[in-house]
Amino acid sequence: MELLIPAGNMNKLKSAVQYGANAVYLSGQNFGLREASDNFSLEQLREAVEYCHAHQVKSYITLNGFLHDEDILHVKDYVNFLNQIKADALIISDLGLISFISEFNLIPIHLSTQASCLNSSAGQFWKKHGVKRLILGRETSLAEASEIKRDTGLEVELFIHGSMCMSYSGNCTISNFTQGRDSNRGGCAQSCRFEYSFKEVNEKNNEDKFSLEKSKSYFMSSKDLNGIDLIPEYYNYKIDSVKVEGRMKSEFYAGLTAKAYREAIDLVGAGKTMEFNQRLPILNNYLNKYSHRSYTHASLLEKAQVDSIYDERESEVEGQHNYVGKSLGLYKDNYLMMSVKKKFTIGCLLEFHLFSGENVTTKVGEILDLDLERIEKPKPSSVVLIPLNDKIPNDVLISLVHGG
Amino acid sequence: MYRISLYLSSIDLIKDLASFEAAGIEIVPILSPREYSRQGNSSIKDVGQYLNFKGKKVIELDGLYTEDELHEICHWVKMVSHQDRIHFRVKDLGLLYFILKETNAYAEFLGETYNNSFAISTIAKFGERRITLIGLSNEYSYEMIEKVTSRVDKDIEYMGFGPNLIFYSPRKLLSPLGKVDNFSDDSTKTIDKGINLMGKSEESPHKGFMLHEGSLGTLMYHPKYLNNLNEIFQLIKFGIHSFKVDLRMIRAIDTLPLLENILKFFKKNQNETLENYPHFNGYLRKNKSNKIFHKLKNRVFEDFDLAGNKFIGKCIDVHNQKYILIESFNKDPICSLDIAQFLNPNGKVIKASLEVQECIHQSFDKDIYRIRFIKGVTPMSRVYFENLG
Ligand code: SF4
Repeated sequence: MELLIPAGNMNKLKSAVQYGANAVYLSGQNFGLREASDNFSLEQLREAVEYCHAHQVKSYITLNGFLHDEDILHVKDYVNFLNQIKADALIISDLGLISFISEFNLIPIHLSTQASCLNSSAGQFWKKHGVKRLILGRETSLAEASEIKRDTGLEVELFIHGSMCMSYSGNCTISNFTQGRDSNRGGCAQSCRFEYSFKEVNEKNNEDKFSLEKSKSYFMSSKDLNGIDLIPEYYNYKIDSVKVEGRMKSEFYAGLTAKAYREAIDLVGAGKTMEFNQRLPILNNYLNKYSHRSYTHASLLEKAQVDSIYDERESEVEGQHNYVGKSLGLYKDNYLMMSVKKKFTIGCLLEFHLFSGENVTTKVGEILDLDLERIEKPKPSSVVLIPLNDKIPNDVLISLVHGG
Repeated sequence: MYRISLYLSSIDLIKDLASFEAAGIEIVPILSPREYSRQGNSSIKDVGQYLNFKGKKVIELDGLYTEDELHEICHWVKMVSHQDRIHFRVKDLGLLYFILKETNAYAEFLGETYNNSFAISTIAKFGERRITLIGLSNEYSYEMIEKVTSRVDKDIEYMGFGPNLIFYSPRKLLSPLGKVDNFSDDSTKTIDKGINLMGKSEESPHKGFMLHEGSLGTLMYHPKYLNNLNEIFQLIKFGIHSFKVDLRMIRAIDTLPLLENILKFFKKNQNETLENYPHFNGYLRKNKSNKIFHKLKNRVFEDFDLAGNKFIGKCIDVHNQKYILIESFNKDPICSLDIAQFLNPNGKVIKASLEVQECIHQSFDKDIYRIRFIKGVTPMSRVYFENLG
C-alpha cells in the first residue's frame, strides 16, 4: 500500500521523502489548485522528480483545476515537459484537459478527487477516457472504495488524513462570488470556516416545523480527517494508495504525518497487528503535535454525520508543539546549524524529530549567530547555531515542547 | 424556437401552465423528486401524475451519488425509463453512464463544474444523440459560451432567472441547528419540504446567503437571484436556445404572476422590472475570477521563470546588515562577482554582484553560502542568475 504525502514546495517534499512517503504529489506554478502555495518552478520540478527517483519515491504532478479554454491551450508544452522529466503520474480533474492531452501525453492519469468520482459507474466512464487510477471523492466509504476497485479494475486512492472541504469537491464557488477568487483554480478563501448567524425564512405556504435553537454557528466547517487507526481496514479493502491532504501545510506537518503513517503501514503490512495497536497512541501523538481541528473518520466507515462538523474556532490542542525550525547540519564541529521558522528562547525545550525511531529532546543553553555572537531570541527566517552533543542529521524537524 | 426549463415549487402548478403557451416558446416543467434531487419540488410518488401532462417529460436527478445511493437510484430509473421519450436530467457521470448503457432513455447533462468547451464536447461525443441538452455553469461569459456553441452541436442551456447555487454539501448541516417537530424522534432527519434559512457571516462581504437542506444535503445560494433576462436575445445570438428558469424558492401564490413577467422578456417586451426580487447579472460580460486568477502570486513567479532566468535557491537569512545566507540548489558553485537577481516576496527585484564569504554547508542536494549583505534583499527572496541568452 502506497503512502502518498503532499509536497507544497521543495522543503516539504524533502521532509515527506525523508520521513517515509512512497509517493508525493506536487504542482507547478499553474493549473494545480493551490495558488497560494509556493509550488515548483519548471527547474524545481525537474529537480524534485530527480530527487524522488533517487530515493525510489514516485512523483505525481497535479493539474487539477477546472480550467478555462485559454488555460488548456497553454498546457501542451507543460505536459511535454513533464513527459520529458519522467513524472510518474498526472493528477487531473478536468474532462476537457484529459481529452485534450490524450493525443500526446504518455504519463498515466490519476483522476483527481475534485472530479467527485463516487461510484463504479462513474469509474467506468473515466476508465473509458484513459484514467488509470481513481482518487475517490471523500464521501466514499472504505467498503465502497473496494467495490469500485473490483468493478472497474482500476487502482483506487483514498484520503486518510487532513482537512476536509465541506462541499463535494469542485462544487463550491463561494469564493468566486464573494471575493472573485476561483476555488476550482486554486483561489478558495475558506468561506466554510466562517461563523454564520441565521434567520428563518418563514413563508406562508411553507409548513415547516423547524425552529432554530442556535442562532450562530461554524456550521460549514468540517473536522479534519484522521484514519490512522483504520490502516488495517485499508489493507483489508485492498486500497492501493492512502493519501494525506495538505500541500499548503508546513513541512512539519508533512514530515510528522509521513512518519506516523509510515510506521503504521509497515507494522500492519508485516502482520504485526498487536504491535500496531500498542503503538497507536504514540503515532496519534505525532499527529497531535501540529495544529489541527478535532479529528473525525468522516465518511470512511459510514456517511459523515453531525459529529463530523467542527463547530468552533480553531484553538490549540493538547500536546501541540510549535514548529520552530530544521537542522542544517554541523557548523565547525561543535554546533548544530538551525534554520529558524518561529521564535524560541534560551532555556526552552526542543524536540528533534528523527526520521524514524524515538525523538531526542534538549534544553537550549545558548543561541549564536554565524560570528558566534550570542542571540537572545532568534528571528524567523534566519539561521542560528546551537551547541549540541547529540548528532542530529541534516533536515531533521525541530519543535518547541510546550511548557518545556 | 427556444425552450424554458421551468422549475416550480410544486407539481400542482404545472396544470396552470397551459395558459402560458406562446408561439416559439416551449415550456418544459422539470420534475425534481426530493428523494433523489437536491432541491425537490415533488416526490417519486408524483411521477405518474407528471407523466400524464402533455409535452416533454424531464425528471431531474441532480445529486452526486455514492455507490449505495446510485444502486437504489438506478433501480428506480430503470423502472421509470420505459416511459416513452423520457429525459433524465443528471449531473453525476455514473448515473449518466448507467442511463446511456442500461436504458433507452434520453439524458440532459448538467455541466455545472465544466469550465471549458473541450469538456462539454467530450460529453457530447460520449452521449451521441442520446444526450439532448447540456446545461452550462452560471459562470460562463459570452466568450466562453461562444466557444462551446461553436464546437458542440447540441442544445446548450444557460441560466435565465433563478437562484445561483454556490455550494453543495452532502452533509446535513442545518438540522443540527434546530428542532424538527414532525420528526421529533430523530432531529437529524430533514422534513418533507426541506429546511430554508438565511445565513450571514460577519467575515463575508455579502449580506446573507439562502440555505436549503433536503434529503441529499445542504445547498447555499447567492443572496440575489441570477438574472439574465435582459440578455436573452444576445444569448440566442451566441447559440443558446434553452434557458433555465428556477422558481422553486418562490411562494406558490407569487409564482404565476412572476412567470408572466418573466415571459414578457422572452416576448421582447423588456420594460418589465423584477424589483421585488433582488437580482444580479452574473459573469456574462466580465469574468471577475478569471481576471484575478491571472494576477495571483504564482503567476508572477512563473513569468520570472519563463523569462529564462535560472533559479538558484532562496535567501534563508539576512543578518543585521552583515551577511546573507543563500540556500543554493544549483549544481555549480556560486562565486564572487556572479550577478544575481533577488525576487523579494513582495515582487520587487534587486540585481547585485555577489561577494561570497564562505560556503558553510555542502550536501548532495544543497549548499549554503554566506555572502556579503546587499541592501534591499529580504529573507525568503528567490535567487536567480540572469538569462543571458
Ligand atoms: S470554502 Fe470550504 S468548502 Fe468551499 S472550496 Fe473552500 S475549503 Fe472547500
